[in-house]
Amino acid sequence: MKCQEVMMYMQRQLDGDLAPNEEDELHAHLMHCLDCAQMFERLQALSNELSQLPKVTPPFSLVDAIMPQLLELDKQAVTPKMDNVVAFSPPVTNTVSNEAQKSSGKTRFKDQFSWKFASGVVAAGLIIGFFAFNMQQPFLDNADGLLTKSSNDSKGVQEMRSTAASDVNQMQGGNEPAAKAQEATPNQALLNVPNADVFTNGTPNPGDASVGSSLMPKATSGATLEKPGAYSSPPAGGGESLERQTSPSTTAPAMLGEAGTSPSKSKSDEDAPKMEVSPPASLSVPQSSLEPKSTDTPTRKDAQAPTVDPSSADRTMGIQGSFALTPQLPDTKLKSASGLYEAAIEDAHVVIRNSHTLEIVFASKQIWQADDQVKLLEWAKDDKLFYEVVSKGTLQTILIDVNAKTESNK
Amino acid sequence: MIAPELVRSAQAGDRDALITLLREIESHVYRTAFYILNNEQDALDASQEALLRIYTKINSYEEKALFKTWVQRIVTNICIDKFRRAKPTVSMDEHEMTFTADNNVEQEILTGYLAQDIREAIDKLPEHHRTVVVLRYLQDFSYHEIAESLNLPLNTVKSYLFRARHTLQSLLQDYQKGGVRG
Repeated sequence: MKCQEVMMYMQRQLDGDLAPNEEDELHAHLMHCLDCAQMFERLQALSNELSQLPKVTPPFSLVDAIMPQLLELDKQAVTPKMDNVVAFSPPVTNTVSNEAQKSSGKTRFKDQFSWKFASGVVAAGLIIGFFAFNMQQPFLDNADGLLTKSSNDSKGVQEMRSTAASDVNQMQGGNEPAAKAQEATPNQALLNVPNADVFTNGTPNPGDASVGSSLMPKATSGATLEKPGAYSSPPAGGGESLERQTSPSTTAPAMLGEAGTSPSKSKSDEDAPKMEVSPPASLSVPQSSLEPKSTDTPTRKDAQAPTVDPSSADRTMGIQGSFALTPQLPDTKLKSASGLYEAAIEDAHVVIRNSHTLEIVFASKQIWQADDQVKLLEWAKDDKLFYEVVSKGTLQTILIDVNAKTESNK
Repeated sequence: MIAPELVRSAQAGDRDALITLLREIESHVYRTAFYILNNEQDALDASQEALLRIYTKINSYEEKALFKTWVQRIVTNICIDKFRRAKPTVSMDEHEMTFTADNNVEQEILTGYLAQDIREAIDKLPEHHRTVVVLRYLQDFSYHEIAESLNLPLNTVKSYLFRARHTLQSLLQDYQKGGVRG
């Protein structure tokens, strides 16, 4: 056994790391190697001395010494308002700091909560704003779509005509202008498509101007085609007012309000009877007061000065302006045949309310996207509502049975 | 030595348990710092810093290691940092310290002059050798516990310890031969 190996054994022996046979080897070598024996003696002495090094202890309690710093650390995790409370006696401060920690946790939670809440409100506002903007955008941008849509509407208008007429009968008891209106309607219905053409051609015709002013181009231009230059004739006036009456049924109430306000600046005394007629024809009750103004002014003006194009043109231009600002909105309200229910498009889904109490009778579970076009079609007699949705390029027609409170694709 | 339950309740947020724990380990922490730094004041600073660190980091301790080795790792790291920073000026202070430190005068008298020599000799060891010696003899750590504390391989620990003892015995042999103390 070499002395170098013995050195390892000696070191391990000091740590009690040698196996019994290794110990024997070591002792056997030490018996006849003086150098190694002396080295081992020194190492043993050293190891003993190291083991006997004084187990020094700190001259004072280190924990007590750092207690102020520990409290400081606690305070850092605590709300600043607790600073005053932290006193000099450790036991008291301990409890206080514990409480403070808890309260700080609460306040932090509150802070987070309020931030979340505030950001949620902001996000909701943005989404609603974006949604509302997108609702109008496609119609603003797409004039062609507007026209084709209106021609597509012709069927709906025809259907609406009967509804309007029945309403008029119900509420006005067969008033004469209302009767005229009824008579005029078939013409409009027949002339719907040609009207759209006239409108697109942009013929400088007062009739066209009024087409612009009316929410339903076909109906107005229908009157124009009938009597291109003469607006003063009662049937034409009646037709126009009727078309005014029917249009609300398929257009947004907001539009009616806006369309109604600009013409209302002109006086409208003479056509008081017509004014009275038109409200019942409109399906949306709240807007009826505004609506007659818009409907009868054109008629009155036309009656007064049938040949004066500029005045009517100016006026209708103004209306056009407002029309352009409020592009054709999807038909957002539709009253049922019985008059008991009113369907509306709210927040991209169809809601049916009781038309008197305005309570929601049925809310569609189908929530449509902002760029989907939802259109109310018609009410069947047994309180069934048909509406159609153009979603991702596909047209769906959906039936809501209010009484059964069911909704199904047709 | 340290009850695992006490450590667990300290980790669970029981501040009293944590304070109790610190009181139990403070002399162990101080002893290591004292022999590595060979200076009472530095040892006090280092061990207080270590206790503060243990107080704030108690939740980073995982039970897969022994609590005492986790504590010694913290204090030795702090001491080695301090040792390196203070090195240029330490030697003078250390010598002053050697002659003025009368904290353990009685024990030194009982164990003879060697205690003083050994402390001087230990102070001449490289920092890792010194640390291994301190953990081995002042904390009674096994090779394995030293390896865990210092995050060193077991063979490295043995190598450091054997070389440190070899160096120390030759240093002490020189002292005895030179008859410095009388």
